[in-house]
Amino acid sequence: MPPSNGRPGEKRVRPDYEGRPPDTASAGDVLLWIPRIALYPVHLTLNWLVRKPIVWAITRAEANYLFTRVENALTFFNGKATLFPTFLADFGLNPAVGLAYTHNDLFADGNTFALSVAVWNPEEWLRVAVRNEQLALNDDSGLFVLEGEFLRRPDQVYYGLGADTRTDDERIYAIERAEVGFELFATLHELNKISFRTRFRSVTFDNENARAPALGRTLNLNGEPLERPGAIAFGTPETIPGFDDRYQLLEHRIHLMLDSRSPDTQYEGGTGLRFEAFGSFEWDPTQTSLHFFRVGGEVSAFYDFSGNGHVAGIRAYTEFLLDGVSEGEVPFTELPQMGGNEGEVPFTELPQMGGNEVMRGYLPGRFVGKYAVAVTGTYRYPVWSLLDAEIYGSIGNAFGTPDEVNGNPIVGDGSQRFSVKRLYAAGGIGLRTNLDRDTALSILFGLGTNRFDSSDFGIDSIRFTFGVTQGF
Amino acid sequence: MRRLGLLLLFAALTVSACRGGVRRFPLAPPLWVDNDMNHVPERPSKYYSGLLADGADQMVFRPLAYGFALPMPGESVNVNSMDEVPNSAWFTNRIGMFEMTPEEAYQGACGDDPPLSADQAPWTVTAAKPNGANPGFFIKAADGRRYLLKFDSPLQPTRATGSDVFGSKVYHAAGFWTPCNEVVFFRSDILKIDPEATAENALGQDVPITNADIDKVLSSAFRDKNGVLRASASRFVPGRPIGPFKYEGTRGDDPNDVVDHQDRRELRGSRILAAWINHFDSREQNSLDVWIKAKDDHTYLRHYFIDWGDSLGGRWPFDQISRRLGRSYYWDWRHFFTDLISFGFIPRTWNRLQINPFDQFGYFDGPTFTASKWKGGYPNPAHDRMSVRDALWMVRIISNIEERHVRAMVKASRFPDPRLTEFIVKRLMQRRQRIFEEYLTKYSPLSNFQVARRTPGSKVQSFCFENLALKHGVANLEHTYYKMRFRGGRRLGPRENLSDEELGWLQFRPDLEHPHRACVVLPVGHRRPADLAKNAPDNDPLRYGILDIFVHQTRAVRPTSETRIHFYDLGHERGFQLVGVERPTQPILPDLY
Repeated sequence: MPPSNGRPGEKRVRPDYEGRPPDTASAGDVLLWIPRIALYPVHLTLNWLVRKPIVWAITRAEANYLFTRVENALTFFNGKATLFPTFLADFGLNPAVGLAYTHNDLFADGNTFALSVAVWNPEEWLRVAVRNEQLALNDDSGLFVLEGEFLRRPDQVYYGLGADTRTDDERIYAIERAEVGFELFATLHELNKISFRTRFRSVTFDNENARAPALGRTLNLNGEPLERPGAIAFGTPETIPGFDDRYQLLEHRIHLMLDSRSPDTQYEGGTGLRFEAFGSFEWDPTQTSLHFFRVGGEVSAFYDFSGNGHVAGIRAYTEFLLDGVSEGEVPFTELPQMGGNEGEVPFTELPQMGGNEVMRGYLPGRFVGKYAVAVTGTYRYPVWSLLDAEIYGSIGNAFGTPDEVNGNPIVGDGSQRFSVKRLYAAGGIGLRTNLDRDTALSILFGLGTNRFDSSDFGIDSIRFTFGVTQGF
Repeated sequence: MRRLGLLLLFAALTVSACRGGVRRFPLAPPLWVDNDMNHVPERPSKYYSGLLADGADQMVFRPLAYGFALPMPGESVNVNSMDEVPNSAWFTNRIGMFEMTPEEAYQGACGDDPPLSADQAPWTVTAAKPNGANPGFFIKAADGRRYLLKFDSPLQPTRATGSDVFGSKVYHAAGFWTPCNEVVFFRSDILKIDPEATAENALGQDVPITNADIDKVLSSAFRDKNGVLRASASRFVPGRPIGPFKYEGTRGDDPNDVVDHQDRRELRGSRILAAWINHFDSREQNSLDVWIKAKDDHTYLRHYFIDWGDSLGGRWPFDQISRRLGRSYYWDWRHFFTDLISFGFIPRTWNRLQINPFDQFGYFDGPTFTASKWKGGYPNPAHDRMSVRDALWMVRIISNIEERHVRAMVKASRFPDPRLTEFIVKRLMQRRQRIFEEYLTKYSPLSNFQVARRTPGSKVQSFCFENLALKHGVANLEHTYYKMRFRGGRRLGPRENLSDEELGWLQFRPDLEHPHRACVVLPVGHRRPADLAKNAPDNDPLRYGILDIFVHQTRAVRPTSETRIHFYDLGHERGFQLVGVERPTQPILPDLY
């Protein structure tokens, strides 16, 4: 064994491995010291105040099985039940924190029970949702769902109805909604699905509880009188259908999704067609004059030009509200007025766009009208194993207001007629998980414009969203 | 700050002007043993390495912090004058330094010891880890030896156990310390639970082992059609384990540890070895420091590599991840941002991979493999600092691992189907060839330098070397020739300094009878340094000579690489003594070439 060349407790002397003088620094090496010295404080800060403490904390947590302990603390009944915290951040709206509880095989094999509670200020922001799923067919392709939800939020936004709305005219209102219903859900083949749903909901508006400027007031965001109250039907709360009132609706809905793409997202190629259609009949059991049909759907085409998830897509979405249909002969554009206090369809039940699905780049409910149309072009491409980037551009708008002459939202004075120049544009870029073809968790930065025919056409809305998207 | 900048600029100009003197090697034998096995009387503390913590550190926090430190690239520290690594507690020169038979390669760290077999029943289970990603248990065979038993996953039957054994053999042959890993077959009825045995539960607590723990581990293990279980048995290494070693810095409580690990050539160069077998899990958790007792209660730390169960095409449950293993980190900032801003138009190798016909081996591919672009699961500080010279060092070692060795080591993996064995041998040889194509055609392919008397007692000396590019068929013999320039003198410079005394030039083509081996008579040219030195002492600078060997392997006028051989000329009687080898990354040509 070689002799020690260092004293006990001291480092040995490093051998001279090559036996020749060290290489001298080059001019480049010396010059590199200028940025090194300049950036050294940043390095020190990041290394000792960020890196080391965080890595130390994670190491200690692992060494003490903290993650397992937390998991165990939130897992019950041999792993069949789980409790986990939730956090909802919807920029521009109030956040919420909560807890979600799921329990598999609670009432029977194949049963999944879920309960979630989210809250910010309980008097203003509260959501309680319960859902019970039961496999209904032997091959797991059928699902029977019972669900209920109570929602109270003070931060719902309203920009007006119809084709000419502005982001500047944002108003806030509070809502309280209770829903209960059941759904039968069947997978026909792979991504092809059909569902039937019946739901009862009761909605109450709470104008007093809303943040200023509230919907029932005539001031804009700066507390000044609205410049265009007529255009967006503000200033006279009674002109906003359904507002300052409460209503109940019973909904019967059918939803069909046909998708030719492979459900396997792992290098299966994403070329295909997708067709989605839904229709519902909704009526107020206490007020028979309030009843209407809702129809809509989306047609999408996707082309994966690399076969590896570089997918260009185009999607056309529309949704109509048909109220008081009679004889089945009258075109929907000629249908009777839906406004009026009696039988008036509440504005919250009108087709809406914005949020995480259609016309992203705007807050949910940015576009509300009697019918809504949007066309979206997308390009998706992989940027990481489990993550795709997505670029999108949309044009669309909601048309039709109850103020239209003779209840004809299309004809009227023409201001609600569909026209390309009356559309809005939205675009953005985001990241989304790619594990599931049908549903993804996404982060998105979006921009929205004001209307094409605006004299000051430009960016009118900036939005950062984080949430679940479906059907892409 | 401005004054400091001017000062540094002045320093840079001064340094630039001062560079010019040759760095002479001493007239001394190369350092072949690094004395880092000095007595360490107290057992160093145990080091706990967290899986998440290390991954997060290497993928996120370390790049974040060190991105602003602008670390200097630099060559490895523990490199001797022959451009090789001395033996140490980290590494021992084996294949290449000595002839290794296929039988020795097959045995690896197991040596002549009899292998573990079911005949040594009962196997007493002493501890178990039924949970986690790699369940297994510890056994004590009837002969008293202890092993860790690990099993295959249902996704890739026989691969993990086979690759764990193959990896241990190939790392051992290359010179690293490894445990003795073997594939074993047994029936579960030879297992006997030690009454004192404990199993580690999910919270890391030791609880008594139950049959359920054993059954849980065995439930997903591979069994042949007769129900015989297959496992890899990793024999306990001698000494007290004290946790993994880190790939950066040094251990404060090991007085022998004086070279930053990220600057150890064997750790840097192990990247090429890991790339060869796609050992993407080459993180610090797959290493082990052991406080080992040698003779006379002499104790020190030895550093082991362990666990190669990911190699030879290991896959993850997600295909998107499996395809990237070895090509992209689990989270790869560079790939993420380049793909994001290029809208995914940069062609990526992993997108066009096909799974192997024997899908046990996943995406362990040959044609698309590029060693220099290989990446582990997440960044490794030593791998990240690998220089071309470090890579070439490992390439030279791998060049000595021939097909007969590979075949013997794969045989130790005991794959159930000879077609699997044949496939993996061919694939390994294909990847080995890809490594040679990449490194030996761009950088110095020369190796095994020797100065020898032509005949015993003769005063005529020959200088011989091997061209590994020709030996392994990655260079075209027709295009290959050498230009040698021998220089010396008082003003000997490191580069194209014409003030050198140019002692001679020589140009020649490889001998067709043995093209990969070439010899020239020394001195090259008519003059030799000893003529300049006259009666100067042996280590006088005038006795120093440098032989620049420019290797041409293409039609281009510019050579593909340069190798510098440093000599002392001790006169006609004692002749030339080779004292140093340099392999510059790029050839530096004299003004007149």
